[in-house]
Amino acid sequence: MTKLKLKLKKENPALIKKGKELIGKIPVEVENIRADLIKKMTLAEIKELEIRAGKEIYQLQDFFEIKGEPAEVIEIDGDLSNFKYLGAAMNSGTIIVNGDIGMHVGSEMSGGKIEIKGDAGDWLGAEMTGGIITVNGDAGNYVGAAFRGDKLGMNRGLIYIGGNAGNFVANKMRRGEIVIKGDCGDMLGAQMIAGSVYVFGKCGKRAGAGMKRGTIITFSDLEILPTFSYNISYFPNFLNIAFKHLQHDYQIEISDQFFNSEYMRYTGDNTELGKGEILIWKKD
Amino acid sequence: MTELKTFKNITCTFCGALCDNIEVKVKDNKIEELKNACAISRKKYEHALKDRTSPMINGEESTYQEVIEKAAEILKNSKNPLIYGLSSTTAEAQKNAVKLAELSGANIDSTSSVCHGPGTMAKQLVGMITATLGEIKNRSDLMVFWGANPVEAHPNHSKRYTMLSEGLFKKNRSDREVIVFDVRKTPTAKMADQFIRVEPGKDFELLMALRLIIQGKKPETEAGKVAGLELAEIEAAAEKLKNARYGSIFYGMGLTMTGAKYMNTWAAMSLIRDLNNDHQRRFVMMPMRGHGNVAGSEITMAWQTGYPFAVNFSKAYPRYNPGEYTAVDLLANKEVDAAFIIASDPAGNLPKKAAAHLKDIPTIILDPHWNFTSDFADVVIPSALKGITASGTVYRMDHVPLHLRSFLEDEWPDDAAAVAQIGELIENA
Repeated sequence: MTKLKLKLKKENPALIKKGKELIGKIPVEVENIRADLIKKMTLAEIKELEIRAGKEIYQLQDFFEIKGEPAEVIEIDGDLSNFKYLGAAMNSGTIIVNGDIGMHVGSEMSGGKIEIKGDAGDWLGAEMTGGIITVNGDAGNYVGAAFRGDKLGMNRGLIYIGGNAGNFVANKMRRGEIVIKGDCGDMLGAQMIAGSVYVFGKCGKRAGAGMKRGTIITFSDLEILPTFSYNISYFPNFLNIAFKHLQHDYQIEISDQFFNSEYMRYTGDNTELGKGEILIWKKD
Repeated sequence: MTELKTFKNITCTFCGALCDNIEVKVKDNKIEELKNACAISRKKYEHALKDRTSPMINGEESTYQEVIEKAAEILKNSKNPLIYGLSSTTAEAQKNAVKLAELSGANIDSTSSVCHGPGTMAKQLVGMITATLGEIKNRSDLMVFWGANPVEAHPNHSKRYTMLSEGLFKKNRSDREVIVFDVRKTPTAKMADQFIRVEPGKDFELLMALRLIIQGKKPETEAGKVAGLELAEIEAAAEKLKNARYGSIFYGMGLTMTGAKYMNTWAAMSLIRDLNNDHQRRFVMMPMRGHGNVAGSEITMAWQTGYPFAVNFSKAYPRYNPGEYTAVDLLANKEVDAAFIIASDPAGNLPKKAAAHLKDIPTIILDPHWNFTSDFADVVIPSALKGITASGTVYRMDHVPLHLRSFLEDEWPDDAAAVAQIGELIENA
C-alpha cells in the first residue's frame, strides 16, 4: 500500500528559544494535512502545503521530512503536541500519528480514520459527523464535544480512547459512540442530547449534568446527581447487541462478564427533558 | 496650585462597585483630604502617588519614546504574542489594546478569565436576567449572596446598593430579607437573616436540587442530603425564593471558581430562568466583579471582537476559545513567545507554571506602579493613574458606564495613549 510519510524535523520554525535553550513551542495549525486532499496532489504541491505557526505562514517542508508518495494513508512521526486541527473536516483516508498530538484532532471530520499512538489534546473529534478516531494513550477535555457557542457536538462516528479522558467528555453530543477504556474526568455527558458513551474505568463527578437524552454506560460505581431518578435493576438485551457491534465493527475488546449481566438504570437530568439514562454495571 | 481645591463626585476605581461619591481635597498636586471612601479605597488613594514606575529596558533607565519603540519591536517580531490584563484600565485603553492585538496577530485576554470568566461562559449558554443596581436597591425584597462576601471585598456595596441602602420602595434593612449561601460564615453571612452552609464544591448539586423543587419535582438522594443539607432545609429555601416578589442573586468567585466552575453559574442562571418562568415573581442576578473595570474589559472586547475574553487574532480575524486562548493556558503550555501586560500583575496572581514562562519570554508591562511582574519585565512603560491623573470610561458591575475625571497632574501619558502609540508604530512600519 502506498503511503506518505512525514517526519517532524528536530529544528522547525515553531520552537521558541532563549539562546540555545528550548523554552516553548508555538501552536501550529495543520488543518491542511488531510488524507482526502493530499491524495489528489503532486509531491511538489504537498511540499508547499500551507501551514500556520502563530501568525506566520510556512510550508509543509519547513516542518517535515517528506517521503513516499501522495496517497490516502499518511503516517506522521514525532512529538506533535503543539500541532492543532490535524485531519479537521477530513472525509476519507487514514492518518496515523506515531506520537502525541495537540488540540482539535479530527474536529468536524465526516469520514476516514485517524489513529493516534500517543496522547491527544482537547476537543478530540469535536463536532465530527462521521469516521473513526482511535487514541492509544490519554485524551484531553471535551472529547466529541461541541465548540463554544455551538448547539450540537459530535454527530455520528466513533471515538475510542485506550487510556483516560479529561473533563466534559461528550459535552452536547448529538449522536455516535465514544468508548473510553480508562477513567474519565468530571461532567461526563454534560448537556448531552443523544448518543452513547461507554466508560470502562472510573467516572468523575456530576456525570450526565443537564443531559436531555442519550446513554452513559459505566462499569464502576458513580456519584449520581440528585436530579436523576433510580428506575430499575435489569438485564438490558440491547447492550449485548451494542457490545457485539463494537467487537465486530471496530475490533474493540469487551470482557465476557459484561454480557448478559445486571445493570442499574437511572434516568435524568430531571431539570431538563429527563430522557437520558445512566446504566451502571452491577458487579454480582 | 497652592490653595486647597475640592473635587466632588469622584469615582473610585478600586473595585467593581465604582462608588462615584468620593470627595477629594487637593493642594500642591497632593491629596489632602478624602471623604466617603471605604478602608480599601482610602489605602488606594494614599498609595497612588507612591512607588511609581519609570521607563526601563532590561533593568536600565530609558526614555518614554524608547520603551514604546522597544515594545512595538518585540510585538512585531513575535510569532504568537499575548496581550493580558486590561481589567484595571479604561475602556479607551481596552479598545486600543484590541486594535493592537489585531495589528500584531496576538492573543488577547483579560483577568476575567481567572475570576468571573466562567460566569460569562455560562451567560453564553443560557443567558442572564439582570438589572441595574439602582433597580435592585429600589425594589428587591429578597437578596441572596452566593459565594460572595461584599462586606470585605466591596465595603460600600451594601450601604449604597443592597442590604442597608435607602431605596424608593424598599427603605431599609427591615424591608429586605437576606440569605447567604457560602462554605463558611463570612462577615456578610453575619449580617444576613439566614446563612446556609454549603458543602465545599457542592454548589452545583444544591442549585440543581433547588431547580428541581422550583419545577415542582423532588430530588432523589440515598443519604437524604444534598450538599450537606437536609432536603427539608432545601425545600424551605426554595419556598423563600418562590415567595419573593423581586429577588436578586449576587454571586462571587465562590460560585464561578469552585467545583463545576462555569456549570455552577449555568445552574444558577437556569434557576433564575425557572423562577421567572411562571410570571409570579421577578428574579435577577449579578456577578460581584472585582477589579474596577473588569466588566468593561468584557464589554469592550465584546463590541470590538464579538467575544468577551480569550480571543486569538493569529488569523487576523477573532477566534474565541477559553481553555485554548486564555492567558493561563497559553503560558502554562508555553505557546506564546512574547507578552504585553497592561495594568495587571500576572507574576503575582497566576499559577506558578504560567508565571514561570513569563520570566522566560520577552515581557512588556504597562503599569503606573511597580509589582512582581515589573520586577523582571524586559520593558517597563509608566502610565498615568486612571481616575486620579487620567480620565476615561469605566463600567460598573451592572454594566453602567461611568466617566472618570482626573484631578491631579502627571508626567506620564495614560494607558490609552501608550497602547495607541505602539499600535501606530506597528501599523506604520
